[in-house]
Amino acid sequence: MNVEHYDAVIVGARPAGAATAMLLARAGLDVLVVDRSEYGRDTLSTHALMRAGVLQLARWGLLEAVVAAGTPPIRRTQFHYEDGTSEISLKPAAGVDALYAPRRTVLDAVLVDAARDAGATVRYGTTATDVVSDGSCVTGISLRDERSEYVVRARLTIGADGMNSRVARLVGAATTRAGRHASAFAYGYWTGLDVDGYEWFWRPGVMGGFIPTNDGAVCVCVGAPTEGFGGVSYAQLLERAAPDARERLAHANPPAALRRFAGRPGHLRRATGPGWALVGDAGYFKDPLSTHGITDALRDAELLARAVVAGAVQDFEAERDRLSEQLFGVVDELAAYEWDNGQVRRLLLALSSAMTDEVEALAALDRPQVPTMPV
Amino acid sequence: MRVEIQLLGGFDVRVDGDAVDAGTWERKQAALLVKLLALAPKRRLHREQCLDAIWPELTLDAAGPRLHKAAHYARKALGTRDALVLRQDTVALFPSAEVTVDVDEFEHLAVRALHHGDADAVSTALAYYRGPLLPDDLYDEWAIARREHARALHLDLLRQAGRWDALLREDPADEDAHVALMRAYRDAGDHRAALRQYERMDRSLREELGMAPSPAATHLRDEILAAMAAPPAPPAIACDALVGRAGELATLSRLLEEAGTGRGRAVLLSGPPGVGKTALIEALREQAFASGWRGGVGTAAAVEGAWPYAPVLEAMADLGRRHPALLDGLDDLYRAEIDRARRGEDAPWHRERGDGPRAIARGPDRIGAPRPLGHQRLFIAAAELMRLASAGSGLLLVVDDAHDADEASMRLLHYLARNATTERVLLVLARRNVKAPALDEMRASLQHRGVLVDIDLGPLDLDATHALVRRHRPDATDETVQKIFTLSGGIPFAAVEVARRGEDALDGSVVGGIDNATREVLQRVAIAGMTFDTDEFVALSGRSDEKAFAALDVALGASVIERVESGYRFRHALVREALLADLAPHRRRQIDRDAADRLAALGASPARIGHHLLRAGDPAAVPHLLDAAETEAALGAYRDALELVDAVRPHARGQDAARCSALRGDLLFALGDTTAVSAFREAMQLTTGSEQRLVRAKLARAALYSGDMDLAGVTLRGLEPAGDLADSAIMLAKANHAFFSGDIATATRLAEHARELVELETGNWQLLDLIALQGLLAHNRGEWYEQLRVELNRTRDAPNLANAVFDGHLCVAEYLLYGPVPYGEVLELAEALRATAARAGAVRAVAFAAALAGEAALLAGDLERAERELQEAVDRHRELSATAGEAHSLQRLAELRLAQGDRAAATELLQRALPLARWSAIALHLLQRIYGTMIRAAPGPLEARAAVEMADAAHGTDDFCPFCQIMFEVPAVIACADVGDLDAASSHYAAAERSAELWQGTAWQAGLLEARAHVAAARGEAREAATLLDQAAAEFERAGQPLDVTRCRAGLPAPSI
Repeated sequence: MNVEHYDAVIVGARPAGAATAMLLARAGLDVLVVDRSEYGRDTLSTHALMRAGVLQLARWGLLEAVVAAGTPPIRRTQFHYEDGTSEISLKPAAGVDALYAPRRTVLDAVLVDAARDAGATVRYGTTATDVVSDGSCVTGISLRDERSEYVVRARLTIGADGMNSRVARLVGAATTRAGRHASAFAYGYWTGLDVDGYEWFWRPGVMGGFIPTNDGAVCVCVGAPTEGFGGVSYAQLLERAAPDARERLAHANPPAALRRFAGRPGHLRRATGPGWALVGDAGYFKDPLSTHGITDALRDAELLARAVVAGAVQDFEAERDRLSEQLFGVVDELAAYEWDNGQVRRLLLALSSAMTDEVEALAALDRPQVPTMPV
Repeated sequence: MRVEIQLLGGFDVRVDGDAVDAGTWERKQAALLVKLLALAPKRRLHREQCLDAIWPELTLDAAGPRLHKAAHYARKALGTRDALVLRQDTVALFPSAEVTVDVDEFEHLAVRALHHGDADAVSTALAYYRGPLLPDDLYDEWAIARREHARALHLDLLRQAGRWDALLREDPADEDAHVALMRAYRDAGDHRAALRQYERMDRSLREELGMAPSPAATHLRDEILAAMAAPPAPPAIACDALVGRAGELATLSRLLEEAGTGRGRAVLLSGPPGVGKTALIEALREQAFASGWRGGVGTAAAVEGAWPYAPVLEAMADLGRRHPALLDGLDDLYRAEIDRARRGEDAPWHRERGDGPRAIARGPDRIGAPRPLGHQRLFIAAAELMRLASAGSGLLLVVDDAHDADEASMRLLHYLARNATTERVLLVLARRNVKAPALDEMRASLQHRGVLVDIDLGPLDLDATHALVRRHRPDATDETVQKIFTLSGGIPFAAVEVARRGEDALDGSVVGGIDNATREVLQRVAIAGMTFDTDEFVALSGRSDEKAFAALDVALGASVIERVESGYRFRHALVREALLADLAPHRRRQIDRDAADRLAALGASPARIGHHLLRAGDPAAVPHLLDAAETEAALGAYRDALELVDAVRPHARGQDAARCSALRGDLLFALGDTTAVSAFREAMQLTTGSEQRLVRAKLARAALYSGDMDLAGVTLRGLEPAGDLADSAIMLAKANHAFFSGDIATATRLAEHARELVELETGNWQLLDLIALQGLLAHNRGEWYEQLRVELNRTRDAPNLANAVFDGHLCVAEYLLYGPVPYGEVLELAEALRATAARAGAVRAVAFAAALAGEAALLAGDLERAERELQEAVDRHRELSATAGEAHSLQRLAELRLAQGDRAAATELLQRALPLARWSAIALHLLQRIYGTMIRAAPGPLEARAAVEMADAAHGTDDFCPFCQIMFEVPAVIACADVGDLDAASSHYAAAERSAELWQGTAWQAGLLEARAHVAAARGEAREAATLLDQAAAEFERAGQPLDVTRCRAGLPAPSI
């Protein structure tokens, strides 16, 4: 039997996996990316891309496709607190002049298409069942599709298979930092809801978000501490999180179905080991209240790809951690819901600060390394 | 019939080719109706749409007849009955004629041209755009969206046609146009012009915090620079100057590290010019950036005649440019505040420009008029940006040449330094040891609090000089080094110059290697400041582009100037100074005058133009500097504005002299300085007509506040309404005078008259003054409740006005609370008010009633009820966005927490109240009571004293309500006395006494006694103190304030001296 050989095999064709595949393929590597689901399948998400996430799409030349799919531009953010609302206009910076919250049917497809266009092989309906090792180093992976089980060899096996990553478990990736707190979330898509930007609601014990996405829909999510989440309805939570939006919600069409996320504390895992690497939630997960998961996935895809191409895959982890450290801590504190109005504002300042560092780090990737003007 | 209607660039109608004579539009509303219908689809609208658009302030019933009248006049002007047809509920314009409306045509052509991209079509469409839509109706709501749409299409057409210059005239910040022009210049080989284009783009973007050319544009700029014969790299000063500075750098590093743990500080780095302050700071910055810190730098006197707050705002702007994404976390309110200050802009101020007679538009009313404490909002905004930027590893903010900074900058820095103590912030100020009173004052105050660290930078010793010289002349002998050491006096800048260029370098000039023609150009540039861009360089040089560029190249080549992000700067302040030192006085005056002309041609600020004219001894400086002073006043830089006014006063003649003295009076009044009276007196002599009447009203007001009833009376005598803009101020002054003279009947009558004159718009100060007076009057008659009820009915349908009215009652409500009306009765009043208000649906009044009830319950010692009512008041006010009411309720709730013994909770509530209060129109009433309570909430005597100081720094003497002042001054006296600071205690006591005079017969007399008791105790007069305290307790008892009685009966804490 012919065993396939790749430079890299990636498990998971969601944003982290697809983007990593695209970048590696663009760098000339032979890449296979597999996913047990199917092309264009929707998935649970908060959608909201932050500036760093949009920056990545723009840098990769993929933003146009997202915009062309009718994803509405976001140029305004509102933060609603118990004691007032703060409004922030998003001005052009780092080459990004609007944010976007694409439906996952749009975003994931754009990324996978780009990976294919770059020469990566994409296989859906394919599950990774085990990693193959030569005793000291991971050398490939066992895959199963509806017809057969087979092994592919790869110099690098990348787990982009989400927070419950099987690859992480199989390679025994240790957790290097664990969050202590978690929110449970409920999500629904509303239509006819009058929203012209991201809106975040922070009230003691609860948070919510209005996130305008494609086709006139608004993803309305509410989160609260995992303990005590059960027994409270979506409507009740929404009322608690966003009483100031009561009127608007009353005039809109509520979702036909809800999706729920039970909550799980954040983690940072070892990002690389002999023959393997983890990217996206598989290696670095934080509470969804940050609405920062996709943005970080797109960031880490690039950090990992660059490390791989530079032949220094082991450098990825330090860079990932450096850019994640502050945000991870802040998000965990937010997820504790032990803050009052003043404290949550402070935590969100720290969150903004951490996001700024991230944008700047990514923007700097393109900067030519020549001495610039004295300033 | 054929009708052509022109709306673009102006309004014109032609019927069958004949223009309708502009003179026939005798009624503005008739023309408006035609314009409105011309813009409507099919030129028809429902009549109610017309009424809403043209008479938004009237009810439909009231506006109906006006529509018929307007239609009548429109038909008359258009010369035909068929021009306007009102049928059923529809109004139509020329329904049966063949009509073309130019904007419709334009839009149609533009959309097609843009779609097809055909050059001819684009120019045809462009020719159709004669200017903005209806330029004479800029404030009419219904035309705005359409005007914007047409403008956007026009810009797109210009872009499509590649008409970049025209595009930039319309939108100076259009990056596409700038970049296209840069490319064109580069392709033509004109690199200088390409760079100048980049600077122009940079300058137009700079207006907004965090905006900067895109990475692509910057990349293009770098390419162009690389293509040019790059000037030699500037000498590595940082490395040089750091010889012999290991100790200082270690100290700074330690401070940086400490600040990184959340204990922010200010550092004042002092030393003579050339000693290496900037270089040391550069080294510190490098270190900070390497540890992930953020930073911003501002330099005082970067240009002569800068805006108020310039160096601090420049540092903030620098921070924003370096970290634009950071602004994703800054509330728009804060960003707008900082931008406004950076542009020297204050909305209401500027709106007045060009409207109405100059005398009134520029009149003193501007300062007394809507002025919601602009500078305090700026302070909060700057502090918030500081907090945000420091939320990461840390923030290093630098103000260089701080000895040159304005007083306003010092106050802002002071505020930032105090707020930095709990943040990861290091503020570094560098100064020369020259006279700088505002800086010294700030230093003393911050040092007192342990917030500031002094570092003195002295000359290098021989060993260090040795090392430095060897770097530049490795072959230098010991003898040479010794000589250089002697010549330079250990100043590194001088030592390096000599080492490089020989002893001549010290021989009169540090500017070597340039010819005389270049030197003269550089002198002309140096006169305007340290930094400049290409446009300024060329203009100031007075030479052709070609010659100016040649001089620029020579100067760059000789390292006299160096390139910076936004243009150029002199390599060192000493270089600039050396250039200017060569100038004979008469020559310098000439150059100053030229600079003024050339800056004026560039559209520079009045401050810059006036500054040079003043130095040239040219009286033409006066109007410019008065404009500048008005801007400074608008930004709360009262003292700087006053300095300008005083500088031009000797030169001002005629109208300017009048304007000058009136402005001076306003500034002094704003500063709480009683010499405002004499300033207004002088202004009275110099003014005539309406202007003089306004000045007289102001003089009377100032006299009243300074307690001079006679002068107020004399001033107002014979002053009657005359149908001008001074009327309301006059009536208000007269009413106040009558009230304070005890003539209640006259006061009532005059106040009612004033009410008819004062414009009923939210936030108008005159309105608040008036309502407060009417409240006082009503209270005096025992009809305060009745008065409230009247207000209630009046404001039922006008929520914005309701806010103003009830905010205006705040002071009066206090009078009621501390006055002789028993609390039970106040509570009943509040209940009744609440019931009435609830029935009427006047929610703002319900909230007010809750606050009133809560306050009364609190003072009466019913804590449970107070808790309930005040919480309710907080919630209600918040729902209504009634920030003043919310702040007020929070402050009272904080007092309740204090009464419950929970200082921490009280402090937290006050922290919430503070920003709300600052953003309210009645900040000057609220702030004093909030600060007063903060003092009471402080955990110990030292902290209380510090709170007094912080309050002094924050509100200074700038803005005060003489009534509310007591709520701050009494706790301030006590706090100062308790730490044995008798000087401060007695000055606060004097202020408290003045305010207390307005509170005769109220519990505040008891408060004053209590304060005196503390002062006596601090003096060691224990028996006197005990007696006073007993008296205070008795007075409090009489007023029915049991909590205060208990406190006084408990005696004084042991003095902590």
